[in-house]
Formats: sequence, structure tokens, C-alpha cells
Amino acid sequence: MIKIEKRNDVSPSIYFLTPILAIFLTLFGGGIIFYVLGFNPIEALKFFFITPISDLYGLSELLVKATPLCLIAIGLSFCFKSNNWNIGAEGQLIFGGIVGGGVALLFYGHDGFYVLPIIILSGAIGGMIFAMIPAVLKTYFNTNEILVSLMLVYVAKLLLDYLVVGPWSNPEGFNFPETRQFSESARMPILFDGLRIHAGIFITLITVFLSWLILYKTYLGFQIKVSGLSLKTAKYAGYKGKTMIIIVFMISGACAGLAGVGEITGPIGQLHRNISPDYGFTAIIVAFLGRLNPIGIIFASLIVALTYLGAETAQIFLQVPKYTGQVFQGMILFFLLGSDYLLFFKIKFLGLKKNEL
Amino acid sequence: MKKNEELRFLVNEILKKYNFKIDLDIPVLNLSAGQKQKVEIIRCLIRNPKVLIMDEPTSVLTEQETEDLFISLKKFSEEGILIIYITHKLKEVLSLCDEVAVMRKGRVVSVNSTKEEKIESLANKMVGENLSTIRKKIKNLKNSEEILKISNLNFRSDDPYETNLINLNFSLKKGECLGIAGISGNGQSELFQILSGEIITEYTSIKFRNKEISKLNPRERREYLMAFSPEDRISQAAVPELKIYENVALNNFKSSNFFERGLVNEKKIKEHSKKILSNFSVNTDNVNMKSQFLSGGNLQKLIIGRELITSPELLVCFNPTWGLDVGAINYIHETLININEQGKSSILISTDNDELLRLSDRICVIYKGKLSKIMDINEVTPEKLGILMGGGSID
Amino acid sequence: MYKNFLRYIISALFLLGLSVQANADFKVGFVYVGPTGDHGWTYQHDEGRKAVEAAGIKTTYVESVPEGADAERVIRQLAQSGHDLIFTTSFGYMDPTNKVAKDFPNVKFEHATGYKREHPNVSTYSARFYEGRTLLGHMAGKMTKTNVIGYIASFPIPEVIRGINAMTLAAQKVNPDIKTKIVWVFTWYDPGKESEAAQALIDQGADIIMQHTDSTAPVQVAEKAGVWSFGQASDMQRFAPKSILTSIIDDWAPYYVERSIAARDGTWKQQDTWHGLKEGMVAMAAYNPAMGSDLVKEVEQLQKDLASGKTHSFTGPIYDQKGNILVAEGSVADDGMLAGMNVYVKGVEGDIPQ
Repeated sequence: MIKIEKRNDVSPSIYFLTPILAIFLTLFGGGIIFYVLGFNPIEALKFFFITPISDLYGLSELLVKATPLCLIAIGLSFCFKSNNWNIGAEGQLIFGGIVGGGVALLFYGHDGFYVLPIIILSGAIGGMIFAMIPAVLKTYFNTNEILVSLMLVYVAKLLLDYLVVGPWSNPEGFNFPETRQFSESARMPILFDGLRIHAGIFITLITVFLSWLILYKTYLGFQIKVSGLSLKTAKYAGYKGKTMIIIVFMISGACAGLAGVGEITGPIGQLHRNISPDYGFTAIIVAFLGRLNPIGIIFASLIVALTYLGAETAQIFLQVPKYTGQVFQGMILFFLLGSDYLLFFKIKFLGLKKNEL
Repeated sequence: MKKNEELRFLVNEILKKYNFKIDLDIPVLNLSAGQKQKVEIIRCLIRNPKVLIMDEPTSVLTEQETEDLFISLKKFSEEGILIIYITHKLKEVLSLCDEVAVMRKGRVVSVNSTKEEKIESLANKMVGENLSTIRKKIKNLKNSEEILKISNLNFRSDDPYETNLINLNFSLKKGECLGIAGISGNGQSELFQILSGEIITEYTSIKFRNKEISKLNPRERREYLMAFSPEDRISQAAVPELKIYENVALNNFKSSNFFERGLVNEKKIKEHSKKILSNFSVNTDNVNMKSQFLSGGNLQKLIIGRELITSPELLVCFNPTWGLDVGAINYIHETLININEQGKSSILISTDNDELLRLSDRICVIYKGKLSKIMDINEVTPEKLGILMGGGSID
Repeated sequence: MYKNFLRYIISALFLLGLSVQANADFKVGFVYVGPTGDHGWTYQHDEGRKAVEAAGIKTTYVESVPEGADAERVIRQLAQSGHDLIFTTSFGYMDPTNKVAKDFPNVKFEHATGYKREHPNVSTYSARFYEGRTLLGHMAGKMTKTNVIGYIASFPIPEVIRGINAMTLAAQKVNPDIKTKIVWVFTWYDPGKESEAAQALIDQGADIIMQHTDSTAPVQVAEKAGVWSFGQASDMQRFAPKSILTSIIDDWAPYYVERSIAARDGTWKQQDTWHGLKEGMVAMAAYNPAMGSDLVKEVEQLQKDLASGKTHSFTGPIYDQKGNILVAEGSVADDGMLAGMNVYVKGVEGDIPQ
């Protein structure tokens, strides 16, 4: 006879240790999968998790990949902490990219220090405005933000398709669906020659710091925390629920917009149809893996980014199928949720009672 | 599982036998409340029960539907089905049942044949006759100034689980405690939320110290020196996952300076929290402790303390002592009497009649969203309360 | 100062990496945009890779690489991990390929369907798919009853427009009344969208469905609806045995083997390759006997003539939709014009999306 009971108290250290436990379980489970597929598990795991970051270039790539994930996840943490389910960060990223990219094209051929800041700012505003659509519809028309934000992803994608195929396509580009390469003045400065790591990482770090400040040291952060734990209490305390919904969506959208503009002015350098390999969706995993905590999110984004790089290296060196990376991500989430369950509930094994025999 | 055909046959049998009229092919969603209830009953009858237990079955029914139901129930009992019928409607008990047990505070206080009971005797048993030891001194408030005036309080909700409020009017004097009695679910929660500002209703007028405050939210009302202690202390008045000092910060009145220029002033909040813990004898001085580790009584003391430390002119509380031990109840009752003696007013919405009789200067009863006549405490008898709470009328 | 020092360290590490590579075995890397199991574009490239492998050269592939920021890293990793020749098989890899090529002058790069060769170690290659379209047009013109040909197009780039035009011209030659209806799906691979497009075209009266997209969905829709269709990129016959008249097959194998051997033996040179029926980069699957032996014979003859150069897909006079002359009577379109083609010829319905 097995009985499941809710635990009364959960110590904070265990709360942060479970993601680490989840990662170890993932490694273990991954090892088994590799073994079954006929690979040496130790070697495969080495290619997956160590080889990609064993040199400076790899470390730089890790940061390039983790930067947008971290930015978006930080923004999402504002929404998720306050019980607002913004699932459309991908759309906000793309829309931020569209607005930022549009401004970059407008400034095509312009030099000047002001060009890049204007582009970055307009990208953030773009993402912010796009995120306000589900927020305003939720607050004033009582729509479901999950559906609205998700459907808007397709709107943003199709708008981007239209722009790069039609009006914004490179006039010298034989109608290929892409814009011109942005001018040098519209590109994120590269930090080290030969590496792709760019100034966007500073934007991310500043955003993480500001988010920490807002979430833990301000009245707004306090209100977000209370609303997330109990909407009834927030109402009773007299917090302006509608304003707060709009604010958290704005922050979240701005972060996603920054991620988008960081991609197009950073490693990509132009607009085309594939400016994001679903960063906006992956960031949801990152946000929860990082426990909606800014520091946790930094680590989570690095780990998730590593699973992407690892999937590539494992493919190059061992010809492991590409989708193992996704299997790994799924396993991390699975084990995290599993350990969470054990965190909040305990399983008691009771002896069979006589009358049950 | 029975096959569809078979099931339809069985259901038709029952329909014929008890003269129920229900179209079996329309979605339950589109049935009236009475018809839905018949579906429930059919579902029970299909299994040939020996005992049928019903809990407040008539609360959603019209009078005609109630009559129909009673006819069916009497038929069942003639066929030998034992019916246990739980209700607070005394009239229904007398017209339907053979025997009646009265429960009060989790105990059966009387079992008797209905032939020997009258509405008045049942009401007496329900409310309890022995009044408590602590009792407020009756003051003459005739000349005291009016502090709160509610007029035309109306509330309509689309949510079937909420109760509509119909044209409530009352006023409150300085230093007075107005008790609002009633069986839970008759609109108390809605009334509390309208008084606190969690629900804003359109045409209601709430005048507090001569200012119209009906459109203000709870935080703004607090600035006018109102305070609120909701019924649900673990998911509304406080958040168990938050630390004590964070729960204190929920009552963020302007002069507190808990949040200066948008930043959290942790030091201020903690100092203030310590003061509450000691002034209201909460049995801890650790403001960093999570509130979930406080006992119910201590949590309630913390909440009342948080609300009262700002010296409000009016405290609205809703079931302030449910689930507490006697010591905590007495402490909170003394505190509530104290504030009236200091010339502050209170509204006590409670389902505990002992509490109401102990603390109130005047009492009225809320039933199905309507308020009864307001009575002075010395004209209130348990009998009258019981009758009003069961939906009857006096004089 | 500090930055210079770092730069020094980094370049030293790079050099170290390169010197290690020089001793490694000769390896060829492939970057695919889709999964190898798409039975279309990527599938055919992977068939080519297998041919290289069969020729005794080691190969590596990375599949489903998005055309965004990730492509550069994958290409660079292949270059860094000792691959001597790298085929990047989608248009979106054009800029990343050139970027990486700059940093790895000793590694050779081959980019499919692009036009940028910014460094001497970058070649480009593509196939004259339009020659196959000419054959399809001939069959379509003969087989259609409704005189409406449905065309599922991916992106309005010259390669796709060329195919539409080549097909329309050939069909008009045998049947002056035909009309070409186009649905743009703006994707290379999306079975859902492609089948919707096929259904829409059939609903508009098309009894011939052809596609410039990679999934097998359109031919399957055609099979169900009982109309004729043509496979794309690989032989799709088994997915719609009754409906498919033939498939245009991209046969990269000879080119991949040739270039790999050249790179291994040190004879690789930069070039822009555009091969067609003649070299075998474009091949035709078996012709469906249902179209009658006469027509099969005609098409086989036309295929020979196109391969030998006796016939050209774009022989004048060719008019645009407004009736302006594009290619004068008696002359043929040159490669420059073909490469930049961005207008429809007469007989195509609608406008090119802009």
C-alpha cells in the first residue's frame, strides 16, 4: 500500500538542489539512451557536454546561444511569477526583430554611434507593444492570454515572411527572402576578434541585474510576488491588478524584443525568415528550470544552450541523431517536474493491513 | 456499464413512476435548476438506494419546484427509503420530516420528533440559549455621530456560486459594533468584499465620515482609516508562503513608508512588524519566519494587529474566530470590544451567534442577499435570530 | 593591451587547432537544412553523401540546421574538427559559409544555390532544374483536360520563377490554351501547407499538380483526387503510383564524388557550377506508361535534345505577361538572364509576390 502525502515544509536549499538533481538524472538517463543506441555512454556524454565548451570559441558560442534564452526567460519570469501565462515570447521576439530590423534598414548606410542604440531601443519597444496586445485583451476583454499570445506568434512570423519576401527584401538579392546585411554601425560590437560573442551579453547582464532589483527590492516586485502566490490576497491588499498585468507583459515583451534585436544585429546581421530557432518557446523551459529566479535563469540558460551545442557536436563526432538534444531537454524537464513532485509530496510505503490481504 | 438502451429503459421507468417530466435528449446544461436536481435524484434512484442523503436541496429551487420535490420525497419514504435531509430551513423540516436532530458547533444538541417541535423551539436550539460570560456593556449611542452610511447597495453576479445582494441600507455610529448574522452563503462574502473595495458595484453609495468611498479600492479605503479582516486568513488575509514581515507589508498605508520611492524598506517593515508581534501577543518575535508556521490563532492575531495598528476608525471583520481555540477567541473578542470602547466602530459579519451576541450593539440577519430589520441587542433573542436565519419573518 | 594579449592567445589556440587538423584524415562534411528523411531535397543530398562515402571518403553530416545564427557555428565546427571540404546545402547558408570560409582558407566550401563566392575557397553549385520543368510542361500540356495546371511554389526567387516559366512555355507549345495557376506557400517543407495548396488548386480546376516544394504531400493529395502529378527532387513514385507521371530527380552524387576526389587530390578549384540533364545533375524518374507510349517516346526525345543542347528551354520568342518581348525570335535566353529571372511569361496567372 502506497500513500502520498503533502509535505509541510520545504527547505530552500533543497528547492535549489532539485534542478541539479534533475540534471544528474538526465545525464544518467541520457547515458542509458546512448548505450541503447550503441554508443559508448561516457564518450557520448563527453561530446555532448564537455567538448562543445572545451575552447574559447565554444565558450563564446555557449554565451551567444544562452544570451537570448536568458533574456527572454528573465522577462517571462515576471509574467509567470504573477500568474500571467505569456506563451508568445517567440512572437514578441520576432516583432522586436522586425521593428529593430526596420529601423536598421532605415539607417542603412548611416554611420554614427547613435544608430545601434536607436535600433536596440526600437526593438525593445516593438516587443513591448506586441506583448501588450494579449495583456490589454486580457484586462479589458477577459480573453485568455495563453491563446492570444500564442496565436500572435503566427501573426509575427507571417508578417516577417511578408516583409522579407516583399517590401524589405534585398534589392540586389535575386528575390531571396532576406533583407540587406545591415551596415556596420547597426551591428553589435564583437568583443573579441574571431569570436561571435557580442555586446548583447552586457545588455543581458544589466537586464538580469535590474530584474533582480525589481523583483526583490521594489514595491512592484512585491506586488508581483503576492499576486503570484494568491490573487485573492493581491485584490484584498488593493493592488491594481490590471495595471500590473500590463506592466509584466510589457517587461516580458521588451526582454523578448531585446533578444530579437540582439540576434539580428549580432550573429545574423540581417532579417530573414529564420531569425529565431524557437528561442521564445525554449525560454519557457529555461524560466522554469531556473525557478523563475534571475540567478537560476542564468544557469538554466547556459545548461539549455549547452544541450543545443552538445547535440551538434555529438552529431558531428558520433553521428548521433540531431533530436537527441531535444530528448535531453525533455528529460531535464521531466526529471525536474518529477523531483518537484517528491519535493512537495512524500511517498509513504505502508505495510499491507491485515484486512487488505 | 449498462448499455444505452437498457439505461434509457430504466430511466423511463423511474420517470413514469414518479411523474417526472424530463426530455432525455437535451443537454443537462439547458435544464432548469429543478430539472437538473431531478437528474441527480434519478441518478441515485437507478441504484435502488436504501438511504438518500440530501444537503440543502431546495436552495436553488423555486417554490413550485420545492413542492414537487417534497411530493417525490414523501413517495420515496412511503416506499421504505430512509431520507436524511440536511437544511437550515426550519419550515421545511417541520413539513417534511418525521424526526429532527439539531446540530450546533459540530455537536448534536437535540433529537426529537417533529410533532413536538415548533419553529421557535427549533430556532432556540439552533442558536443556543446560554449566553457567554464576556459581554459588552450596553452603551447609549443615540447621540453618537454617524460614521458610515450605506445606501442602495446592490450586487448582481453572473457567477452562480455568488449571491446577489438586494438593496441593502444601513448606517453605523461612532463606537458602535453592528453584527450581521446569517447562515453562510447568504451573501456575507459578497457584502464583505463590497465594504472592503475588492468588489466595486456601480450604483451603491458608501459614505464614510461624509466622504463617498464606493469607488475606492481597499488600499485607498485604508487611507481613510478603514481596516478589513477577511474570513479566509490563509489565502486572502495572509499568504502562508510569505514571511511575517512580508504579510505585514500587505497593509501598505501611506504613512507607513514601507515602500519609499518604489523600493522596499525592509527595515521599516520589520520594525513595524515587531511592534505588532509584541502588542498583539503573537507567540513569536521572529519576523523572518514564514507565516505558515504560525498557529491559526497567532496568525489571526497578526492579521487583526496589522489592521488595528494604524488606529482605524472602522474595522470590518468576517468570521474573525472560526477554527480558533477558546484562548485565542477570547483574546480577539476582548480586542474587538476594546476598539469600540476607544470610540472606533466595527462591523462584525459572523456565522457564530454566540460571538455576535457577545460583541454587537445592534444585529441584523442576512438571508439570500437581503438584510432583515436591524435590532438593538437587548431586543434580540436566539429565537428571533434563528427564525430570521432560516428565512422566516418575525412580528 | 589586455585585448591584444587575449587576441594573441586566441590566435595561438586557433593555429594549434589547425596544425592538428593537417594530419587528420581527409573528411567531407555536409550541412542539411531538413531531416535526411524528408524524401525530397535533403534526402537527395544525403544520397549524394552516401555516394562519396562509397567512393572511400569519410563523411559527416549535420541535419536540420536552422538557417539562422546556428548555421555559422555548425559550419565552423565542421571546419574546426578536421573536415577538408564542406557542402552547405541550402540557400540560407550563403553568408555563414562565406564568413567561415574567410577564417579557414585551407578548407574548401561548396554552397548550393547561392551566388556569393567572396573567398577563393568557396564554390557554388546548382542544377538546371528548369530543363526538367520543360519536360513536365510538355507532358502537362498533353495530359490536361481542363487546361489548368496547378503549381505549388515555395519562394519567388529566380530558381522557382524559372521553373514556372519553363514549364508554361513547354506546355503552351503543345497546347496553346493552358493556364498556370500558382499557390505560393512560402516554405520548402511543410506537408500541411503543401497539401492545402494542392487541394486548393484541384478545387480551382487543375487536373495536373506540380510542386517546387519538398514533401510528398501534394502528390498524395493528387493521388486521392485522381489527378496527375509530378514528384520533386527525388523519385516520389511509390507515394502516388497512379498519379505520378514522372519525378525530377536532383542527382548530386556525381558532382559530390567528383569534387570530393578533387579536393582530396589537391586539384579543387573555385567554380560556379550549373549542371543539368547533360551532366546528369538533373535526371528524370521512369515515365508512367499511363500517358501512352507515343507521348513517352516524344518526351524521351525531348529529354535527349535538351541534354545535347539541340533544344533550349527558353527559346524565343518569349513574351512577358503584358506582351513585351523578353527573348527575340530565334535566340535563346543567356545564363545571366536566367539567373536573375523575376517576371512571369505570358500564360501564367497572377503576380509575383513582392
